[in-house]
Amino acid sequence: MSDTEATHPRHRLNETIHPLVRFSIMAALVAADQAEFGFVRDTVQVSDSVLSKQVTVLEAAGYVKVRKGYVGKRPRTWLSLTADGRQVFTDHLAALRDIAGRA
Amino acid sequence: MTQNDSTPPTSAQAQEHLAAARELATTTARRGAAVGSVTTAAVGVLVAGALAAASFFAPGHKVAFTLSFAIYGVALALLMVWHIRTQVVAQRGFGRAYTRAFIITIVLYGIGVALIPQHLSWPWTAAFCVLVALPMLVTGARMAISARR
Repeated sequence: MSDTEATHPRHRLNETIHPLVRFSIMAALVAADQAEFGFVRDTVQVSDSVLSKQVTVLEAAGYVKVRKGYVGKRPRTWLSLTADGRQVFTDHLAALRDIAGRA
Repeated sequence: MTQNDSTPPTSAQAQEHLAAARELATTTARRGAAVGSVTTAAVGVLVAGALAAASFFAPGHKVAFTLSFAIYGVALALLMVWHIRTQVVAQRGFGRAYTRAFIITIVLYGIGVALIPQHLSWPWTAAFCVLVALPMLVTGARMAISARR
């Protein structure tokens, strides 16, 4: 691998959040302290099961925190970015900006 | 926006990702601000209303004073219930901004209550009530404006 290849911004992309659905989940959560599962599902436009599966991956990576609770008798699940997740997403966006700027 | 995950994005795809990220973040921020800003402003108005009622009724209308305070309590409770049920996004920084504004408003409310025995004229009382509501009105407005950027 040459120096040029090694310094290409694509090497700074995070493989866990690079897939589009996970990237979208992170993007939807970055402007919030926490967001309800249903809101994220509707915003990212995926099914419950797809969101649940992708959130599990992000949670296992330590990027997303899941909190379950109730509003009255209705169960609610809240999603939020961890400090680590916020940093990783910021770095990922910076790498994307560098790639976009190489046109 | 489609992309093979195993290949690095092209410049155009990176731009699409960035645009999508901006759009999603804006959607979330706006949704959070819609509820958060209304709640913040409404709490400010309610506290100011409570001070106005206290100033107006405190000198000798005990029943009216108690009733107005009960109405304030019920209105505040209903507002909190609405907030908890409606809020699906806690806007980033909402908690800190709300708490800061609420503390200032409550301190001003306390000063207002302490001034009641001074029997200020109604224009001064009205002006002070506006001052009490102001921190939360301004914070609510700032939340709404920042989400639109």
